[in-house]
Amino acid sequence: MYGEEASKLAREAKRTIDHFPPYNDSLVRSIAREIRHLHETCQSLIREYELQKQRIESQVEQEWRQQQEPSSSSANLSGTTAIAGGPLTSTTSQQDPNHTTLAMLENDPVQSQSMSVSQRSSSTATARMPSLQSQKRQVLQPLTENFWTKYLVHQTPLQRNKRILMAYHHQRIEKIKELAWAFNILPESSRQLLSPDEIGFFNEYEKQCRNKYSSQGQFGEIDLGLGMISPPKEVFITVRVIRDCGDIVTESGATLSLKKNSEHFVKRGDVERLITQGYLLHVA
Amino acid sequence: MEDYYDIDSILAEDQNVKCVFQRNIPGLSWLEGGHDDMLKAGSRIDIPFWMAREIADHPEGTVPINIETPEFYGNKVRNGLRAEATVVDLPKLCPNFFRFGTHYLQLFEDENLASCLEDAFKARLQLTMDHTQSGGNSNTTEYLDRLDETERELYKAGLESSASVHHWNQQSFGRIRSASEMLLKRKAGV
Repeated sequence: MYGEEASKLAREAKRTIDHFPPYNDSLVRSIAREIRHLHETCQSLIREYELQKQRIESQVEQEWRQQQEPSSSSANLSGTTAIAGGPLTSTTSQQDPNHTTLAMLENDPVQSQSMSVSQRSSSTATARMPSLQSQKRQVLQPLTENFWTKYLVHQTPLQRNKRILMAYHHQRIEKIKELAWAFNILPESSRQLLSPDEIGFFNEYEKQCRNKYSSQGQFGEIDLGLGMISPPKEVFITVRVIRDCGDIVTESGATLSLKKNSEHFVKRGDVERLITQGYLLHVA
Repeated sequence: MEDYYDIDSILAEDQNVKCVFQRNIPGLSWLEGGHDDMLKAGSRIDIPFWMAREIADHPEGTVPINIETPEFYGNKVRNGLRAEATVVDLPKLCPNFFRFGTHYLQLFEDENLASCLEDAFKARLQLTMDHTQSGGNSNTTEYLDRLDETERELYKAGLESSASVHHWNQQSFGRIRSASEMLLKRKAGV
């Protein structure tokens, strides 16, 4: 059944919505393959349908012309009778010699008769034309319905595959954006989870969101990557060291040696970034 | 129109329904796993709802198709929901019970089902809310197992909000959190 691989990917995306799984390259590839296959199938279905449609249409048209043949001959027949009646009417008009000749010239009976015949035949043709159209439609109806059903059986999974791929990548991109705000440089552990294109996206995005604000000076020296929106309440905070990060030189020039499991009462601005990067824990 | 990128919505549509085509269709027998060319008229086949919907509701005209009402919207379940909505085990019937219902009802007019789902949802929501606000209850897991996906989302949202209130009471909002914590935190309201 088509669309199963994509459903698998959708379920995976749902399951891992709370964490960041590695890029599922093989599944994405196989879905892309399925899309290509479905696309080709759709194309060939359309070609097949067009061919059949043309064949049937020409067939119907032929039959229609055959049906039309006797009726057109009857129109000729009526035309000849009209022409035969033409001299008759002219003779009746000629019976009156005082009849104005100009009017007779204008309404040449034979001409008017032939005109009416042509009008009649054209009117019959226009009356027949829609019937040809509807006849065509009627004959084509089952074929068209079959075609659309078959087409949709292949086209809807294609659309769905696309939608799921888009949703999957959308979800990942949102996560990568969060990563970009949190880290200046992608940690090695996260790097393994991204596809090469995603790493490219991370680098671009990270550059954009930092450069834009710092270069324009809009936000001064505020680090936007801290994930904190409310203003800080205190200048000094207590932190506990979770991972060793050696000696740090603070803004005031003092050296701070952060060893694992030690607690420090330090200036907030000095350690903010270390906390977001997971080296320190904000205790109080 | 719902969100194109919404995974939940995508998954909700991923539900097989039983369909009956009213006419023979050449070249589609693989849908029912057959090996001949012709899909016989009147054979009941399982196809995903997203496909059935498009076929049933296409402007160009397709082979007439009957979509059967899924069993989990049948009378038995409806009666169960009317009797006592909070004890019905929804994931066993359909993991996206309510969400799929909204998709399904867009295609079929069924006032009865709509009102039944709505009442059941309201009745169950109340209890879900109670569970989230009362903290760690001992019988929570058993109750959680009976929730469908939408209700689980709401349950999570409820837990988060009560945790937020707790934090606010403790005035611990000024803390800086590490990036990995922030990443683990689900965006609220999704």
